[in-house]
Formats: sequence, structure tokens, C-alpha cells
Amino acid sequence: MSRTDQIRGRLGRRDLLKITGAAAGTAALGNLTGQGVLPTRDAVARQDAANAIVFGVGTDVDELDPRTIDTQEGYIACANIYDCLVLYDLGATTLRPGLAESWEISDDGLVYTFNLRQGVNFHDGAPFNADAVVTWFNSIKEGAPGSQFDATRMVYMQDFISSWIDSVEAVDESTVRMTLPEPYSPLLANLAIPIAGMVSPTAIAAGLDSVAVNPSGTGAFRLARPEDWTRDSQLVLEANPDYWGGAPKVEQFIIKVVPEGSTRLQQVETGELDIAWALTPEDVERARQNPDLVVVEDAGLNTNCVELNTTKEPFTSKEVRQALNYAVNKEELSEGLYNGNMVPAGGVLPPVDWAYNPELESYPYDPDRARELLAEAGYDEGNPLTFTFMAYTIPRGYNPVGDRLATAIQEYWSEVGVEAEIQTAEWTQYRADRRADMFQCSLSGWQGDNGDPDNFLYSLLAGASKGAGNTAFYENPEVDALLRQAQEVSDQDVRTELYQQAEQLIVDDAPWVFLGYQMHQVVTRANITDFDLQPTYIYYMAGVGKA
Amino acid sequence: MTRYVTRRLLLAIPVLLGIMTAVFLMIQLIPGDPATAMAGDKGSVEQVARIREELGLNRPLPVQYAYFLKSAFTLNFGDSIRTNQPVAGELRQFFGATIELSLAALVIALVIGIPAGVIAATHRASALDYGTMIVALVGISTPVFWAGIVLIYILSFRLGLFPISGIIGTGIRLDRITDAYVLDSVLTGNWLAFRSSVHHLILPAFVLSTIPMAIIARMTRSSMLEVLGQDYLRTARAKGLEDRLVVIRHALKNALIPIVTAIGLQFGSLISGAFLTETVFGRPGLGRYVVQAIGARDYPAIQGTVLVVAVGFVLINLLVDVAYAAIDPRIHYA
Repeated sequence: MSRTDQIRGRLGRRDLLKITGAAAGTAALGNLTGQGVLPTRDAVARQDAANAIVFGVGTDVDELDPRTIDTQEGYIACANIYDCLVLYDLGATTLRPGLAESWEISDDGLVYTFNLRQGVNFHDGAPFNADAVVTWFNSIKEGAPGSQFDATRMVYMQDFISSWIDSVEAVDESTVRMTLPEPYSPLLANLAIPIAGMVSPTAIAAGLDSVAVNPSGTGAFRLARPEDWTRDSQLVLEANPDYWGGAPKVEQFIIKVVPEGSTRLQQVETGELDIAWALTPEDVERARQNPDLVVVEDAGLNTNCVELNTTKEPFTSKEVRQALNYAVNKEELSEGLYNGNMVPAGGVLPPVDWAYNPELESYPYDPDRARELLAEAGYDEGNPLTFTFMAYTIPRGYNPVGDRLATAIQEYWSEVGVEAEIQTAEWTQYRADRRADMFQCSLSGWQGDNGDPDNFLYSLLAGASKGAGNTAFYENPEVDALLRQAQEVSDQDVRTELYQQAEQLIVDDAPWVFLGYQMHQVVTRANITDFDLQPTYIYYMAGVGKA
Repeated sequence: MTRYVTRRLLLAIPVLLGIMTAVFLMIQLIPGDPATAMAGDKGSVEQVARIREELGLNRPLPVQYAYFLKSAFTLNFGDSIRTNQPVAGELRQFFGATIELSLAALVIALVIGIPAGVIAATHRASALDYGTMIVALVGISTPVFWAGIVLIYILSFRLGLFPISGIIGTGIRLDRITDAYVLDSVLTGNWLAFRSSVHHLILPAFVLSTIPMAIIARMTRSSMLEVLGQDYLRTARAKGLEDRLVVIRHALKNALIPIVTAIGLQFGSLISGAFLTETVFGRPGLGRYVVQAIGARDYPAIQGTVLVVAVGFVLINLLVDVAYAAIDPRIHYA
């Protein structure tokens, strides 16, 4: 290196110092010239429309094409950008008309005819009509003309929609007919899941990857420009003034990503967020003390239980299974383990489900009865009941405390002389082993998908679901007949009757230790009006206002 | 010099190959694969098998490895399994934000760390020295996520001085060019976005800077102490030079080499620290991107991020080595 180079080098470093100094100075100046020495937090934190609702979530939306979404955040966004043919009633699992004004189901349950709402346009201007529904269906149906079916991206679509429908045809401009391979009355509820949102045919023509970031539906809110979605940061949706259900009450619906739950609570406390979602029970308790906040809550559409593998000793004995139910104090469990945020369960269906049976006969806490039943089954102090109790370790929506639940239950059981040995496994492996019939007894649970009782009772306890959702490997022909029949009739009263009969039989057989339903809680600012807790954890924001 | 740089760059290839191989083997060891993640909790065994086939996960491991290397060397990582968008584009989008945060932290670390070290050295064994070094020790020992949460609670939540979370104010529209928010707001002349993004950057950058700042301060102090005892400093003083100039021109300049090494190494820890900081402060960036990718067993996204960070690390180290020559004319690379 020559001498001039050295000088040049030194000058370079000096320049560098000047530049960095200038940059730091500019930054400081930026703050000093604000309001006072530093601008206040609120001056820079929120620059959205005064009339906007900011909804805080932990993880970003995955994509904005309802056909391929598979996260709850994606469901929340798509439930407001798109409309389904049928929608859930506000705050309930029952159904109301959506883009279909009415529908008829043929007597054999094989043909569904939908009368479509007229004069509705997609955000991109394309008209919503029978052809749009046909284009949408063909795009998700494997092998149909114009199909965009992708087995890796349409798992839920296949489970809930496309495998239950053979074809969809346009009868006239505003009527479509769906033909089913077999009667399946839960289909209507499935069509209300946000994955069944109607996508503009123009958007569909641009392909799956395009719809994922350039959504176009008929919903109350729309993505005005693709740049309004900043990944892992915020998704700014504008109100759709032409919404068929009436213009939304607010100008913007913003989904803001705030990864830490406690930070979401702080932000809703300071007003940086209007609604905070997915908070821990401790944070919800803190929100309860704050007069500026409202905790909107109800028993969630979920169930928390212990599965007893009915094909393996010692759980082939009904007395043993019933005894383990009587031995657990669910009320105390709810208070002690979940801060009172678990509603104790008698059976399978949570209270928000339309087929819930308040008169179900179940298992109150009765350790003496448990000991009697164990004695009947041949177990006593000299010959105690022993088995391996498998537990997952991560928090689940239906059980936020993970394997601590197993420890608590083990305690209850030991009080009636049962020796359960807890073993834990990593979640993915746990799930696979449980399905492979490798567990004797295991923690389990379920988050409902569509609010239909079939999604609990058939998915979890029908003989046909063994090794899939039914990992207690329970099978009762009488229950199976009732569940099958309930899939074939479409009258809700008849179905309710059938499901309640089936659930009572299941509870008597006790393939599970029924524990409870985790509360579904959302914290909002007190000035947020008409926010309904949707049991399926989607939220329709069209009618939500800000005082 | 050119030859040296070329040789170093060529040497980087086996290093990167080793890293990519290690990453490939490691993601194979995590239980579960993209297919089980995509099929979800409720997906059937058949669905998992079908997805596995579509993604080529049922091919023999060496074949998968070959495809993996091909994608790494062509820089075409394909689409993210989680978001279905091209990984290269997503990396570009998040890279700017992470680099901006890391650089801001580095600037803070240098601007505070070096003077602190110099002052401690020139006031050796005084209260000032002990005080500075105790603060530095606390700085090294404090985990980034903890410092972040505490500072958010006090400065943002209680005192309302900074936004609690995020990278820019809710609802602010910013046309993104480089995806470094402060830079983009300057480039587009968006004053509101500039103020907001700088205000969102200060606290996380400060938190991220604490550990490197402390290390740099301690390193500066010990390196300065070594130099301050040298004969040529006595000569400089003897010829009547002002004390301040002696320290800055003669001592600090000669003490810089180990400090520059420390800076290079710290840049690596800044990137990994940025991963935690991004989560605590709710900022988008490579760190949160890769954490989510690991959760979803999103192989293309994981390998893409690792490669980008590894290349960055190799380049920074090279830059540091080249910087030696610029600082110390005695060092030659042949």
C-alpha cells in the first residue's frame, strides 16, 4: 500500500465518520423537530383512518386465497374479504343466507339448489353469478375443466368441500345446482367455512399464486393495493362501500401482527390496537381489571379430554373407564389449572354447538363411586390399576397448559388408587403414534372446524374414523347408525335429536375422560361496538363499529 | 490484494457447502416434515403420503440432497411451502429490514462503545473506569429478549416515549424500494413514514446494540491500555502534543486492530440477536421469517435464509480482514 493510499485511506475513514455522524444527527433531528423533544408514542404509532379497527394477531395471514388458506389468521382475513354461499349466524354455529339467498335440498339429500343474490359484484368488478360459482367449484375440484386443484395446498378444501360434491352446474343466471355423491347434511356448514369464499373468476384466471396476494371477493372489506399488505407487519383492508350487506361501519379493518401475547395486551391497553386476540388466561385477567377494555368471552368450540384406548387392556373394561371419569374433579381443575377459564364438560359437544344437550347425564366428581367401580373390575390396593399415560408437552388451544394437565389428572387418579405413569412425546410424533394405535391412554382434544355436531361426534367417535380423528379406537354400532342417519337427514331438529341420543350413548360408554371446553376470549377496547364472538374463531367485521 | 480477495472468496465455497450440508442434515433430523405440517393436525395418512410424493420427499435422501444443492447454487429456492410465494422474493423483502436494524445497532454500539472504552482506559482504576466496566459487564450478561421486554414496559408502555411494537405506524403507506424502511422513506421523501420508522427503530436498535457495545467497550479498553504503555506515546507526549490528540491519533489508531476484529465477529451475533429482537418488537425480518419457516418445516425458506446469512457472514469476515490492511500499513496480503 503506497503513501497516497494511506492518506486516501485515512480520508476515507474520516469521511465515513462525517457520514455516520451526519446520519445520526439527521435521526436525532428528526425526533427533535417533532412535537417536543420526542414525538409521543401515539403520534407515530397510529396513522390509520380515525375510523379504523386494528385487530392484533400473533402470526401473519399466510395467504389471501380462501382456497388455500390453512391458518386461523387467514380465515379471519378471508371471512371479511370474501363471502360464502351461506354464512354463520352472528355469534352462533347456525346458518344464515350469504351469497345464496335461499336453498333447497332434494328429498334424497343428493341435490342442493342455491338461489343466488343478484346485483353483487366482486371487488375487481366481475359480476357474481351462477357462472362464477361454477368457475370457483371447478377450480378446486380435481379433474374438473379449469381445475387448479393442488393436493399440497388444498388439504382442507378436499376434506370439507370438494370430496363431498360431484359437480356444480348453472341452472340459470342466478341459480346453481350441486350434486353430491351421497347424502351429507354437514355440507351446508362446511360451505360457511371461510375456505369456501367465492373468488372472482377474473382473479381465478390469474392463477393460485396470484390470488394469494391479489384477493378479489365480494366481502365487506377489500385489499385496495397489493402493497397494503406488508408481510409480518400489517394488512390494511378498506371498506367496500358497495357491500351487499350494507357498507361497513368503519373505513378500515387492519390486521396487525404482534408476535408476543403480552405485547398485544399492552397495545390494546394503550389504544394502539382495538382488538387483541389469542391472549393467555393471565393476560385476560389483567384486561378484566381495566375499565377501558372489555373481555368478550364464551365457551369455545373445542373439547379437552383424555382418550382411553378401548381396544387395549385395561380400558376394554367399561367400569374402569367410568371410574376414571368419576375420579376427576373438573370444577377444581378448571379453577386451579386454568384460572377458571375451562367450562367443565359432561360430554363431547361444547355449549356453543347447536346440538348441545344441557340434560346430558354424565360423571360428577365422586371418588367413592370410582373406587367401587374399580373394585367391580377387580382392582384394589393389593392389585392396583396401572397403565402408561401419554402426554403432549406444547400448549394447545383446548389445553393451554400442555402436560401440566396430565400431572393434575395423575394426582386425582392416585387418590382412588390408580397408578398412571406419565410419558411425554414431541407433538408431531405424538400425533402419528396416537393414530397408529400405539397409545393406551393419552391427552387429547379437538378444535371444531364448522360448528356442525358431525365435526365432533362423527369425526372423533365413529367407527369409520378410527385411526383418523377417533384415536380412542371406539366403536359402537348403535352410535354409528345414529351418526350416519344424522348425516342423511337435513332437518336440524331431527338431527339434534339423533346427535343427543348418540352423545348420551358415548358418554355412558366413556371412551374418554370428559374434561371441559376452553373459553374463547377476545379483548376489545370499550368503544368497540357490536363485536360478536364467532364460535369458529372467525369474526365478521362488517357490522362492528367504533364509538 | 485482488489475489487475496479472490482466494478468500473461493475458499468461501467449501465453507458454504459445509453449512448447506449441515443444514440439510439438521432439517432431516427434526421430527415431522413439510407434508405433516401442511396436512395439519387433522390431515389423513393418505393426504400426508400424497403431499410427500408431490413435494418429492419420498425420493432417496441423496437425490433430495442433489436437488437441494442445485437450488442453493442456482439461487432458485423455489416457492415457500408456507406462503407459496418465491423464497428469493421473500428473502429480499425481509433482508432490508434486518440489515437496517443490525446496522443501526452497530452504529449505536460503536458510537457509545469506543468512547466508553477509551475513557475507561485513560482513567484507569478510577471510579469512571470501574463504573463503565460494570455497566459493560451488565450489558454482556443481559439477554436481548429480556432487556427488550423491560425497556418496552418502562419506556414505551409506562412513559409512552416509543411505540410498543412494529416497524412503522399502523396504516402508514410507504412505497418500498429496498425494504429497509428508514431508507425507503428517505428515498421516497415520505416524511411521516421517516419519522415513524426511525421512532420504531431506536429502541430495538439500542437493545440489540447492548451486547456488542459492551464487548467493544471492553475490547477498546484493554487494547488501549496495552498501547498507552508504549514508548512512542511517551515520545508523542514529550514532543508536546496535546493529550487529547495523543490518545486519539496515536493510541486509538494503533489500538483499533483487535477492535475491528471484534466488530466483525459481533456482526454475526447482531444478525442472530436481530432474530430475537424482531420477535420481541414485532418487526418483520429474516429472523421471524426463518422461525416461522422452521415451524412449518418450510425447507426452501429455511435453506434460503441460512444461505443468505452464511454468505453475509463470510463477506463481513472478509471485509474485516481487508480492513486490517487499510488500518495497519504493516499488514500485506499476497
